[in-house]
Amino acid sequence: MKEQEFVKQFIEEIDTTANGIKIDTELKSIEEWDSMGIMLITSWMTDNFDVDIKIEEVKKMLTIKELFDKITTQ
Amino acid sequence: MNIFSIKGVEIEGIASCVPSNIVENRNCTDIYTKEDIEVVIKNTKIEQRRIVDSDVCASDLGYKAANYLLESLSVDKSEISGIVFLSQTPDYKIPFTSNILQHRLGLDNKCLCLDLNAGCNGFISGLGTSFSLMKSQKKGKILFIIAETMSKIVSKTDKATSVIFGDAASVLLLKNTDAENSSYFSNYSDGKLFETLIIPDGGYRNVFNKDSLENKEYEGGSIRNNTELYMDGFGVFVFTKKRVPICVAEINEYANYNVEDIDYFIFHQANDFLIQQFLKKLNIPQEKNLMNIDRFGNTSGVSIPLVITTELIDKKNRETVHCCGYGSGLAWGSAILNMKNTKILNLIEY
Repeated sequence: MKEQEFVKQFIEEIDTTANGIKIDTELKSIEEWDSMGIMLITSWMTDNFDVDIKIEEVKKMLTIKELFDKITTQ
Repeated sequence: MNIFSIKGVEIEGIASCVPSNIVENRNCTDIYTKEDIEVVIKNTKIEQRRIVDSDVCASDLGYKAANYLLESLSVDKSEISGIVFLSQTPDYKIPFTSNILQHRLGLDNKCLCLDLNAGCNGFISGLGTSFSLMKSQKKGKILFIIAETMSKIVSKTDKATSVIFGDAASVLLLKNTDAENSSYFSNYSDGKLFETLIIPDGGYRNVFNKDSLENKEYEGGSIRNNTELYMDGFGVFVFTKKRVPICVAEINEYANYNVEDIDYFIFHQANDFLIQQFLKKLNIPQEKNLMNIDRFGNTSGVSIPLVITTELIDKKNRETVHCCGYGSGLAWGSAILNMKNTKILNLIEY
């Protein structure tokens, strides 16, 4: 999967209306990146990319790129 | 018998009872900061819950609702041929609570008394069982009582559960009917995940012992002992987000209904965020989704009939009401009910 497609799916999953989200966008700048948003994205990565990832690990990530790297390096 | 339909049985009436004591979540600042509790309320939509006094049991709520229903419908008590009592918070380990209720309600000795232990999917599995019992009888009526006092099994210092759960009871009276319409039920289970929601001690796998009441601190600062409920919130979320939409779609297909054909959907009131995920995945419009989680929180298996009592009561169309439960077990399932002729009584307080 390419970065652009990952970002598109990330936006759809977290259901944000924020503009200008890119691969290097800081997660904490996205309003929906709260405890529920983190749970949602962790669940999405587990289900859709067969990634073994814990919610505590996702909480520590700073950018969308770090999420992307997790699925490409697994 | 994963998915089945039953013709010739209908819900004659339904009543619910909640404690009069209201707990405001905004006042629960013992373990949450004011900012944190606002985030919890925003995500769960739980503003208030009803909590019983220490001397009130789940069966007391069920008893009051049952008496109210039987009196309101002028039911001849000798007609009641069976009581199904479903709860995780019964009066005693021995004897079973339905037996006690048979006497308290003044019902005839010729009465099947059956206790079921199930969690947040209990309304679906218990109602399906009750419908099956009713279908097997030519006369008589079945009383299905579902009651929970979750406040008695939740730690007040556990962030995952303390401001989520509330207490309530609902009672449904079933009877035979000549009507041609069917009711549909589905049941699913995955016992591999039994530890996702669990009270570890006090049964016979881990008997109550000197360490059972020892409070332990867990990650995030939650404190509970082994006689209190543990919930892996993320585990429940991942599981239900994936399984529940499939469950809803499968029974709709079995019954030959589309989302458009369903008058209302009532999901177990776990939290608003999760329910919104179901609506999104299934393309269910908001106006078809009934909720009361803001006022009562998660009342385990009672949450669906409690929504019927408070929200469906004033709705005109209720021929296809799709109810979906999910919870401990893990277990999940759906029921599509025709409640056109069902007498829904106003909510009462204990």
